[in-house]
Amino acid sequence: MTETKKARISRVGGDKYLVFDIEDVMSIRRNHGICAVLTGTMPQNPTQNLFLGLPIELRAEEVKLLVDAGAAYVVDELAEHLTAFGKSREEQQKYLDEVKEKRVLAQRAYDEEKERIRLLHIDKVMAAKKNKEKRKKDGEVGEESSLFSEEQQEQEQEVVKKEKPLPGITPTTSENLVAGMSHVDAVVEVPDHPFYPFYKKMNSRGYFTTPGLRFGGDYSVYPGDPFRFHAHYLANAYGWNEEIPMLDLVTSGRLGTAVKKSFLFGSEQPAPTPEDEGDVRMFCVEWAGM
Amino acid sequence: MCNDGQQRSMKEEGTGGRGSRASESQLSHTTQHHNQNITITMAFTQPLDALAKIVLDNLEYQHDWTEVYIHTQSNLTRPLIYGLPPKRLYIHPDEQVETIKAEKDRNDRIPQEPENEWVLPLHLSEKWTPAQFAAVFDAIKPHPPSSDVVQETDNIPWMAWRGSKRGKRILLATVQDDSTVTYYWLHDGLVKPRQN
Amino acid sequence: MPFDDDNDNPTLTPSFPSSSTSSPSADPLLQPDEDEDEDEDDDAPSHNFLLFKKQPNISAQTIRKGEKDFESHGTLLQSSALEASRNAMQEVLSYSRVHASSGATVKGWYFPDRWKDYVESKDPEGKSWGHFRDRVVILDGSNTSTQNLGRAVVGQKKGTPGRGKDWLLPEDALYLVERGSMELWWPRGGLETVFPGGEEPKEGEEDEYAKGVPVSLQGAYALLIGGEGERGKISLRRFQVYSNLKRCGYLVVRAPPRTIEEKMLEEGRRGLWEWLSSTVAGWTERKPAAFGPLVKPGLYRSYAQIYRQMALIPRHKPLSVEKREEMKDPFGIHYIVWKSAHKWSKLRQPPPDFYLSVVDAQETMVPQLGEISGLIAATPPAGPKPEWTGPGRIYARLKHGHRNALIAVVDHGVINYMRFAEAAFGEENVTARFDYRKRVGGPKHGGWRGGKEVMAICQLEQIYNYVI
Repeated sequence: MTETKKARISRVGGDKYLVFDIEDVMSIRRNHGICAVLTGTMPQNPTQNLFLGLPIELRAEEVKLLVDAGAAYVVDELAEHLTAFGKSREEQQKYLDEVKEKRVLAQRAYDEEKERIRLLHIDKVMAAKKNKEKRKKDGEVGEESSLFSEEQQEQEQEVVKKEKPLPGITPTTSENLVAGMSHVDAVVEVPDHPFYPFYKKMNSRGYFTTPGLRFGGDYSVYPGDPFRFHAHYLANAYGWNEEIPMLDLVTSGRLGTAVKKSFLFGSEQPAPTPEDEGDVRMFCVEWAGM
Repeated sequence: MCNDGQQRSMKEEGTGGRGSRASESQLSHTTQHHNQNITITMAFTQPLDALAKIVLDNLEYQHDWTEVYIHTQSNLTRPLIYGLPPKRLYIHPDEQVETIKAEKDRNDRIPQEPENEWVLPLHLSEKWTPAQFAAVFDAIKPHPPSSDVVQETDNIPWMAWRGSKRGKRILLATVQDDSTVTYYWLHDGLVKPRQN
Repeated sequence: MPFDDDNDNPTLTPSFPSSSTSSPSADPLLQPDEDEDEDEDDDAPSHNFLLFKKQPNISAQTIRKGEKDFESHGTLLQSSALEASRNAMQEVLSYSRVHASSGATVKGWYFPDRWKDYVESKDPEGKSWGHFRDRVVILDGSNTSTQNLGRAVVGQKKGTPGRGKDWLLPEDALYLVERGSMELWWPRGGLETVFPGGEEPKEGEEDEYAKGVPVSLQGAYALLIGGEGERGKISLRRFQVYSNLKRCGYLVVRAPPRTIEEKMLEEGRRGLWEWLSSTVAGWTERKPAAFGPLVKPGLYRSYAQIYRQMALIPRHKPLSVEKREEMKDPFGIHYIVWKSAHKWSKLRQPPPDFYLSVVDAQETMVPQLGEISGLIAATPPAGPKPEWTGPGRIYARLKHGHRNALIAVVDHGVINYMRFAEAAFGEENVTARFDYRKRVGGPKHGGWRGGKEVMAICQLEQIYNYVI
């Protein structure tokens, strides 16, 4: 197995867990069966809610799983940043250089794009001229279009003359700003979560989960990456001696059947001896059709 | 656990009419069928017997089940029911796939004979813990006692689902105060949903 | 087909009643036109520097291509489709936010403690509440995305650094950073180093980083996300709801604190006389005799007379004035929401379209009646539309209710909106229609009428038995 870099999990607002680095997001999705929820506005498409951008928000159980597996570490991102911003400019140079480098690249991408559009525009103007000449021949007047294009060309030339500052960049992560700090100072413990044994079992069997709110449960459970599969279960985790009202089983079973899913509930059976790990029992409820 | 309505129906027992008929039938069932390895205990409280009876009647008269029996067992905290539904009640999605394959090969439909099923009578107002459900599953075999277990042939995959591949499942029969009974499958373990 | 997940998920867009987003760029997959130099019609994306280029062709469809399967069959087709989706996702999320190079860059500077001791009182001129204590980012520059955001703090002395500039709430600032409309900067010095006063000096490349550090998206979350109700911060749950609504084109504003809310309601309170008359006209309590028939046997000429005697259960009467009920945490009004910017300004806002509470699905139980009524009581009366008359609109009226509040339930970034309305079944006089029909028949058709009366008396006997 190749050694992959540990994913950085940002703890914000006390007990919320986010991941900002796309490499980390992809690696935990590919290697650990965790897709979590994209929650951010996509700067390319900021007026839609169909597909969202970074960061992803992880559940506490998912965080624990990743940390226990040695695949991630958690930092108190506020403490980390307050320290980093308080440092001298020299210490921040790596980050500032990264920003500057990206700004140059962005300017080049922008120029390249502009040139492409200009060429496209020239093509259009040529085509329009041809058209106009043709129309003139046909006895029509096409003055407006010629005026418009000349005006625009002038404007463009003016813009080029001005020496513009480089475009600004907002990096997605502060990787180069906080580099080297986090492993010592701000790494935080992940508290135990009552759902953890259940979640871990599902994850170990290759199931992906998303928040269960859509179907009124703790989890929606998918037999693989939700990109490709429909959810099989809406799932709840209970304590071994937690009392479940029958009405809850009936309503969840009914709801699950209505959306072609089974209602799954699971619980960790306490181990006979403290050294053993408890087994997780699973039960599935479906409408019987009678 | 049970409400006043059921308490009252218990008191009516033995005073003739419906109650006594049902209680007689329960008695005969238990004596006829479970004298091998199962001891009849009198530990059951009366409301639970009444609950079982409501479900038993509902299965027989509303859902046309046959050979319906009340099943008691020392390691069960309440009586279960088992019986034969008029048509097959559960087909695992994988069995369905294998059946379709087999039907294609033999160019003929495979008849779906009903299977004996377990039933767990419950009242809607009850609360059960995972530990309790686990105890029920741990106490039973996949096939109810009267089932003719199919002699499975390994080279007929769809048949194995009636034999060794059958998982533990039990019908939760949830009784409401007005004697409405709703039926939900409870499977032991992860069982993927049926697609139809 | 039963609704399934993701693709046709009702929770992806808020399902507000009649949610008409009138923002110009509200079409979910339309490219916004704020970056004036971007041209739309490129089908051959630049192969270099992809990470800095917006890709208008990338949409949810690109990433979630084709029908989903029931389960894995271990086929190459399945795994390559998954790989394609993941790669598309990685590509689209690798984009870096680029800001306009034309010098019109919008910057926000983080000064978290500038207004922390500011004492705000209700503005006598009726301006909306400013939440100045929580405003932590000073806005330098503007664009279409910033125009409805930010408030200037008045009463600053001439020459005060940054005087007249707009200050953003944490959610505004984070939202602007996230959509790529603003650079957030961490200042190295005080306000006076950023805004030295007088003419703004021409910024050279070199000086820029002397003043401060550009903050990454990660850094912006770190600085601006906080606990529930923390000053100068926004909780992640509320931010997720705020940005979800903003993406849909709604105008979203922090609700004023509770004491102010009450004052506002007080102003909306109608006269004492109306309050009195609304009580009198409402439910008048009857005490039926302890024994005997509920409805006295006799000949009745209208159903109304009979039903009046049968009305035993007190009915809820919605009042036009607010009830004195306390909002109970966490069910408070956190945001007020408008469907469109029409007639809207930062300082003077028309009556809101929605009152919204944000709760965490993991930490909150389904609200109890007291919590719901407390929440609803904090909203002004919003009865059914006057034109919804007649028996045909009875369900529309009941469903709409007399006041309402929305609750946004958030489960790890997944949001579900629920509307709770104060319904008043007692306001729907169903029985009046029975008499109305009789009058249509005309008083002269005695035989027909008599038949009805007999029937009414028969029904009464049944009721009589039942009640006893």
